[in-house]
Amino acid sequence: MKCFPRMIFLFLFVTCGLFAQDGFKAVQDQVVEYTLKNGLKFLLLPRHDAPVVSFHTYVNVGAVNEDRGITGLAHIFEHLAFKGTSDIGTKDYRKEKVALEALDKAWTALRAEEAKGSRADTVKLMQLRAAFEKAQEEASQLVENGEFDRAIEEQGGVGLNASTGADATQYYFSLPSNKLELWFSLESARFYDPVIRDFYKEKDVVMEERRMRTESNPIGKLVEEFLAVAFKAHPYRDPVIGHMSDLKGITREEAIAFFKKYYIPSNMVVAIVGDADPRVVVQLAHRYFDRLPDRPKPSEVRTVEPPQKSERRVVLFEQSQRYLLVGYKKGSATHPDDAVYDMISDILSSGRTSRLYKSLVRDKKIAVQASGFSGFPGTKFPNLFAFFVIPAQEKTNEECLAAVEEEIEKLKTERVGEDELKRVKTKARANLIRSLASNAGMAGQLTYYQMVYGDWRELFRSLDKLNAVTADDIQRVSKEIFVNTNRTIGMIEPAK
Amino acid sequence: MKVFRTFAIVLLVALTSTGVGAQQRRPGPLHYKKLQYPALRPLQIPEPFRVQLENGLIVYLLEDRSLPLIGGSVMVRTGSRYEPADKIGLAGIAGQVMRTGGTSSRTGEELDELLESAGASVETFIGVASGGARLSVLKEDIEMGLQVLADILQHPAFREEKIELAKVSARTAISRRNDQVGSIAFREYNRLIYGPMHPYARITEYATIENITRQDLIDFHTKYYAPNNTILALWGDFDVNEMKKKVDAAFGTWRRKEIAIPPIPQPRLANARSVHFVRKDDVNQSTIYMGHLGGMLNDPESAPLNIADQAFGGASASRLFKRIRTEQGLAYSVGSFWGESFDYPGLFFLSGSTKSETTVKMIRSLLREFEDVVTSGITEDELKYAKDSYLNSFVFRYDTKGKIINQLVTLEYFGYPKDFILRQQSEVQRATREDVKNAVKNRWKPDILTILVVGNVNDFDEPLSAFGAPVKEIDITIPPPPEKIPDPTPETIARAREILKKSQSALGGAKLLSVKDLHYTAKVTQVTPAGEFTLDSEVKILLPDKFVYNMKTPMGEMTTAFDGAIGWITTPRGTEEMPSQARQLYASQVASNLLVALQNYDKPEYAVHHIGDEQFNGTSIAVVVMRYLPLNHTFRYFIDTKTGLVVKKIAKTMTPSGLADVEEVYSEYRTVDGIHVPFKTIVTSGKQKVSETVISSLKVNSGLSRDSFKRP
Repeated sequence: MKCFPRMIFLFLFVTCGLFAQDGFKAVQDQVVEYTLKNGLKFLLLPRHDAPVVSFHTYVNVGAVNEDRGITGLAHIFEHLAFKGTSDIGTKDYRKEKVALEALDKAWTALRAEEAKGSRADTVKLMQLRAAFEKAQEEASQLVENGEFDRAIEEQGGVGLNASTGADATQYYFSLPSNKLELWFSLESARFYDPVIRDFYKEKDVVMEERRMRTESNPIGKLVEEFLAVAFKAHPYRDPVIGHMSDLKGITREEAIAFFKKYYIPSNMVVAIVGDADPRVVVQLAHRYFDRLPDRPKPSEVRTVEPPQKSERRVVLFEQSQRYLLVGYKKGSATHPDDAVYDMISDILSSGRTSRLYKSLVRDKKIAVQASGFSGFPGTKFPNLFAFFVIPAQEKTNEECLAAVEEEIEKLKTERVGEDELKRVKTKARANLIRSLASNAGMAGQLTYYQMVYGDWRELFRSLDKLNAVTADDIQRVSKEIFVNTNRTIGMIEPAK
Repeated sequence: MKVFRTFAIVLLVALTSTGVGAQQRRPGPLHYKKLQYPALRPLQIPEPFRVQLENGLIVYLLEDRSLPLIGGSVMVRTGSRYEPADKIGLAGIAGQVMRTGGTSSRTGEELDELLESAGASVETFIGVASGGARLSVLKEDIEMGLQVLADILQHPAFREEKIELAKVSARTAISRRNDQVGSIAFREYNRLIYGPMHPYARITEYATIENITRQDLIDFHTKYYAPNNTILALWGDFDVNEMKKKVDAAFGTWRRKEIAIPPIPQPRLANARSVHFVRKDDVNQSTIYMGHLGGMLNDPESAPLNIADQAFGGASASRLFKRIRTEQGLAYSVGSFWGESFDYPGLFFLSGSTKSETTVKMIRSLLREFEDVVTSGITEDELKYAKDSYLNSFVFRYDTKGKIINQLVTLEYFGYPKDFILRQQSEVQRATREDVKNAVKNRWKPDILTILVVGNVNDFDEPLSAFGAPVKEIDITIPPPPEKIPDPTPETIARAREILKKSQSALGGAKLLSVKDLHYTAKVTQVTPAGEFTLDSEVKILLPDKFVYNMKTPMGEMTTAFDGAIGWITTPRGTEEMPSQARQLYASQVASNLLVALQNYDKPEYAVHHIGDEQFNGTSIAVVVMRYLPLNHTFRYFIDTKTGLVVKKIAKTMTPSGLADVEEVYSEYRTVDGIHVPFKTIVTSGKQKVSETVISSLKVNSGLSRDSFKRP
């Protein structure tokens, strides 16, 4: 409610160009923030250059919220969120509901027998499998396959997708602006009344995704092994895609419970950027999203990663050339040194004037790519400052590691020069301006800053914070985090 | 708060025009099928300003005042498709080093500092069918940006250390090209469809990268970069008239020149189904591609084919996605892609990944769906879905000024009408189910599919021969880098001359030097995938550089001839002149010919040095590197140090599968008219025997006249 005054301001003054003297201020002034009674927050940035509008729903649930045994569920649910509702994606929901329940029963019976392992009765197993497949066939006869996606695509929706990470699940697409209401209708329906159908087949699809991204992909394998070693307690250690056994075992009931626990209005934020009228957006928000029931906020992740005491190392021998991944533990996005981490990342990795490029790629020619970045595998909780290096042909991981260490040592022992600081700050400002050009990009950024930092304005404040970072800050933070006992080293070596 | 709220509601009631009711009588949510949409406000597509400068540079300008930024793009008529086949990678490296190697007045590092200190970027590149640049600056830095861009396009310095940097990156890419299943699959599919050495499919190798010199980069740039071969576009926060002046100042002095663009052979559609696989033992999922050549954007059947593709496998509510992913749970990624390019046929394929154990099942499903769509076309409902998706999302083609202007530049570059996109739109609007059915029947061909699987063959559910034999394995072993040849020293040069002198006398000495012509007949056995064929041939050589090579094939006589300057091939269908690349190839073969080389090794055209000895069957073999300077053609002779006989020659030569070491092993030396020559030559390439030649009769100095070496 707190944003009504700003809305009225908008009604009275037809805004001119997006970028006035103080451009970022002008953009901020145009953002309309509106929160429904159930806690669902809307952020709207109207821009009428073209008759298009982008939507982004950020749900504050990710792989970190999965308990033991259900890894991969946040991501599976993201897939299921495209399956429709009781009146989208079905031929006859009354019959389908019955068929889905029968299917769950058949699956539970099959799983129970399978769980006996070598003591399972093979004849019974075959019967149960046949029964399950028959039940699955019956249920899928009642599905109106692809209706949710089609409803968006045939109205001209583009960029339709979703993503799941360690911290969050995000849903997004763009529409021609006259179809604004379509987003409200579909997005509210899928989070008000989701029907989890095609569940067991969708798990097969996700297992194929796991084979593609992790099991048949050397870098995917490296990341999974690396995180399992870098974090010993915090759920950042578990793969977002999930462990194969969990993917097989997760039940439809668990998926429904997961949805009810985490998909609650106050745990979600929506951004709409583009050709939309704030008055209409507010009306539609009420009309479509008021129905989402307010439930208590889920408890936060309890486990805190204990301080690291020793260097950890993981080496994979693969049919692949070498890769090097090094991670140092650091604070979360809301840590007071957040901007310093970003600054270090820019100094090390941004552009051809960055230190890692100059040293490893350009001068030593021992790598073809070298970067150091903050926020791996997520940002919401204490995470890693990670270095990723692709060694050049016939160069070793060890010589690349030594060169990275050399750059780290410089950060710890030498003050960063004023010119370099200034250049990095100028680049950051220019990049922020560039990022404003994309409706979809802005929508994503606004929701991220709102949910992770508690205020979308942080997107703009981040620049001020970056500008305030000094050479001393960089040296202090480098000395603090870039310590050998605070790091994990992961590498791929070619299998002999 | 309360007051504000009421006020807001009043405004809402007064100003709402979209039919959404006010808050008091808030209606409930509507099912999406019940929604009614207002018309989209008409698309305002601004017309960019277009001007051609006196030097021929075409300039497009478009104002966009929404952010204090200026963007730019450049298209230059060039591309990797024009690079020579033995220097694959040249265009890509040139495109990179134009920027990283700096200009005649600034090093690459100085450019980096200058641009990045202003938060700006200028990048250059050369792709398959065009070259170009991208610029992005804050508006206050536009003069600097334009000046840098103009400097890079006109005066790149191609500094050696940045060429080496680009080569490190190119070699690394080669060494890593088999690490990811997806990239193996796409690359090999591309090579199967276009042919492994076709300009749209050929790939860099260590050898082709090594062949690239700084002079090659300079020549490539000189050949294509000129204002009359370039289009420049700028959009952003500026006034068109002022920008026109700035462009004039930065680019006006660039000099026009004659540009010749070589023709590119058009790829051909396959004529039968074929099945291929790549063995990858460390994966548990197979990546599948199947298809054939695609089409061109200006194809008369483009609209119906795109509709078919969208409905069949191009979108997330398409047939393949629904049947193979959602209904069968067989794949995460599955779809079809009807590829179209502007001036050559793109690729068409169905593709997807599935666990090794369902590989054949998945291919069967894909085939079934494909045959079904080819026989029956798409349903009325699918037609509506595909057309609506295309037409309703049309606005996204014009939603930024950058897209609008770059679309026009690309259309002009490829000689397409500027309203091409709108014409496409109306063709999609008009297309009927019948049109789609006919187009699909015409153009999608189940019986000529090339099927490729990359995966763990041992775990497949059934052998791939289910789809037709033979199933061909593709060996993706990366050819090793060429051996490093040590630099010559006075000692190694002297030693090489000594060995070659001995060789010269072993082959006849003064007699050898007096040879003017040779005339011989031979039986040539060629080894092909279809088996071995032995043919009769007759060869006339007039030293130093003329030859006629006649072969009697089952299809009639074939004559390949070279008169020292031009070459031609005569078949029963007529005579055709050799393309310049083939001419080069023959000229270098002549230069490395045993008699020619031994007669002339001490002439200034040849540089020779000795790089070591090898033991072979108890005898010591000297390895001599010879370079024929006019063509920069390097080859190695292996000479028996005791007898002086040449036992082997290795030369890098163009083969059907790319640049490779070709080995000729000489044996059965016999003496004819005082000269001692090998009567048997076995040619191998990549450990595979290519051919064997056995001389049946040989005449020396039979007085061949120049007339027998004239083009008919």
